[in-house]
Amino acid sequence: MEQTFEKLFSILSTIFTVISVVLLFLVIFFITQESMLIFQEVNFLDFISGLTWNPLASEPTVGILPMILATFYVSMVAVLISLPIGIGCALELAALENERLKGFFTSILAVLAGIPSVIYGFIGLLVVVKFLEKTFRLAAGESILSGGIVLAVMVLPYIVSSVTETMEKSYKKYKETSLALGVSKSYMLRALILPNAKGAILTSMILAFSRAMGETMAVMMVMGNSPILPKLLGKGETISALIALEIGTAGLGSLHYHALFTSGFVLMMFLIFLNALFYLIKKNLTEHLE
Amino acid sequence: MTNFPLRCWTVLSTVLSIGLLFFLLSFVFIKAQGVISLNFILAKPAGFPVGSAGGIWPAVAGSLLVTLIASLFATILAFFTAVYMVFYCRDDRIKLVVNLIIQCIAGIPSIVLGLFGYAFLVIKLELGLSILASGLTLAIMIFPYIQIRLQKLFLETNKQLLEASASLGINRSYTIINLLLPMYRKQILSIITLASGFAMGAAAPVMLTGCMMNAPVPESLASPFMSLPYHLYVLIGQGISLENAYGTAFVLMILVLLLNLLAAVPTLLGMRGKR
Amino acid sequence: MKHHLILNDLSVAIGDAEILKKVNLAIPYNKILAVIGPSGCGKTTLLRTLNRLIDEEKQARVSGEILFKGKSIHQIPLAKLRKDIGLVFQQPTPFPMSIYNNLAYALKYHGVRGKVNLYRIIEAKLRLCGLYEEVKDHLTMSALKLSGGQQQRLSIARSLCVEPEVLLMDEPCSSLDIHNTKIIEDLIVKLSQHYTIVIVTHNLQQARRIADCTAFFLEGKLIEMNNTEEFFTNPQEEETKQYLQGLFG
Repeated sequence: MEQTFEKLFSILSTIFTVISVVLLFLVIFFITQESMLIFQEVNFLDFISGLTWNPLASEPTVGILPMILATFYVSMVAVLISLPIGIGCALELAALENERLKGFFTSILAVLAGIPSVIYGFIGLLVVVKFLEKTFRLAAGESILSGGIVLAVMVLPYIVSSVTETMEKSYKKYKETSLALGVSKSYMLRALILPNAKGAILTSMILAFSRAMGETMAVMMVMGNSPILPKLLGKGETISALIALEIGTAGLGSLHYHALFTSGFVLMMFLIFLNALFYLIKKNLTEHLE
Repeated sequence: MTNFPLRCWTVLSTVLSIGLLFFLLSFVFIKAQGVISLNFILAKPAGFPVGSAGGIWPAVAGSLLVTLIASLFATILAFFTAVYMVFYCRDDRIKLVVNLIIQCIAGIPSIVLGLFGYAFLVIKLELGLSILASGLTLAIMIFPYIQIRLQKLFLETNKQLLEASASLGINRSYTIINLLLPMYRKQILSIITLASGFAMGAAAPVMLTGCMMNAPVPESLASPFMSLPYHLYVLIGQGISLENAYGTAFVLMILVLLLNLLAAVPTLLGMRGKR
Repeated sequence: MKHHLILNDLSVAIGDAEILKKVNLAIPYNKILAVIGPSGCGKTTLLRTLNRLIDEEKQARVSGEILFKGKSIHQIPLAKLRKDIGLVFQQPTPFPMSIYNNLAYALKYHGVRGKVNLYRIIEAKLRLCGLYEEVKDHLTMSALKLSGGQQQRLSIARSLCVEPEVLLMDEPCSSLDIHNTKIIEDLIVKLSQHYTIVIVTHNLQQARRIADCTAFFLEGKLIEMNNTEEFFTNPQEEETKQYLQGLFG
């Protein structure tokens, strides 16, 4: 009886693993396949370096350079805003001796990471966009900057948790030795813990950057979505927003449809590359530490 | 004296980070006060354009259902995949390839998964714009999250416990079901609830695969549906009703917070037990 | 048939390392065999080979033959073999569940049904291990709350629940204090009336106190085996003499 069940269980787990892997493989395969069709009509280089996106015109042009640039621009702004705050917060958390308080802060950050991106977009629209309109006397506050600010809040928990993890380790490791030298805690944080976390900061930046690039709803709600070359205080449209906004109206199998898939493919490749980079660096760092 | 700027920086950053959550919560909660009522939660959207009056019940029900479908599929697949990888697979190359593919999928943005769901599930498999197609798309989205964590959990099991079980003449499946599952019940539940929270809050994958601006509570797996995050997006994006948008955001936030809380409860209880 | 277990030219390698080299050994029924030797001599691997736990390790290669009651262990279904040859580890291995469930865990698997039946066996095994009086009112308490000595006796009771014929013990007292060591040693002697016991130990005095026969391993080879009295008073091999004098750590 138990032996039959064991057989069944092992067969089941094998089958389900195969299903998962096939399904995941299909995602990559299918997106690639659907997006390759466009290159019968458009040159790959033209596609990623073209400045105009007008797939519905009588002579359609599909260039996604503005979207690529906007995606990078807004993610960069987000990381730049988020990084100093994230590192400061991580320093504070790493050196926090009160375990209960630390637990409380950590769970707050976890909740922050779990809030749906639509809610971030919603509040961003009502608060950040309004604020920018007033401060810079803009006709419309929807801009790369507002997208960057909203994304900065969204990637903050990732930066804090991944930097804190490393800092905590080195804090525990060096605390006694350092205190024995009569050095203050703040000096130790600045002179030892912070420089020691360089690698972790780099990986957290990559992680945050890739999170920001993959985000859809929040940026779409606060960036104005015009397929133009991005300026900090001007509108912009990310690749993910482009897809989300236009796939519903793109005729099945049309040039428009395939161009959107190709955009998705380009985004996917960027992110897979960033992820691979993240794992390589992280693996290198952990081996280095051991 | 030189330490003063550093302290300022770290304390300010921390206060800002923590303050953000409270700002977000109070912002939504205060503004939603006037809208929230039992009637708002339990009524259908009404008015013209739809959503400018009435409630959000179909969106609440749709969100709960689609999350349930996603968690169910993702958990089953992730559990068995993790079990296979840790307890049955003996070929390191297979492990490497499977891990690689899962890591890849973990990095794919949700909107691209939405594209896949649309082109493959909705069109190719002819599921149509439906709650099933959306649920499956979300399942693919949260699958890596659950699988990676379950696999880590299983891998870190004390080897001697497994050997002690094997030494009693007991096979793997019985060990997994009767020893590991009870032992990791809390952690597993917490992983699944957190993943469900992500699924519930995601709008991008569902808006391409079956989520509608207006639909009744789904009657079958093939029905289109409404979801809270998408409803919120529509209300605000098309300027239909700011009031109802606050209400919708409030309900969505409460549901996600509840899931977060649910995930934390076992750990909190466990901590008390240890003392 | 005089011997419970017979090893013929048993060799075990893990990866490139040869752990056991051509071991020939016969273990008689209902006796206690102590296996001694310096760390890394292959004692633990020997135990793990006898109940085929070694098969779980990917890089392990086993050659030679092990006969259990005259039959090769590879001809016996794995579950049956491990049920017949129990193993107790160095560290106590209570499962994170109640005391009762720790013992019922394997019983249920091997088909014992009904609360009355389960309780009867569990009580008997706990009594045998001298644990019943201590825990009878706390059977639903988590086994992790027991003391180290109690946990080890629970691990032994758990092994006995599936009615093994041979009990392998891998330094079962090394993590315990003197008092608990004494309790476990008495228990082992008592058990040898019904079970064949192979105990790996670092403690020469322990081997001398409880074992009927003693085998000495060095660098994967069986150097000498004899009845305990002979072994300690009149060792035959030069290496044994040196080891008994404390020359190999």
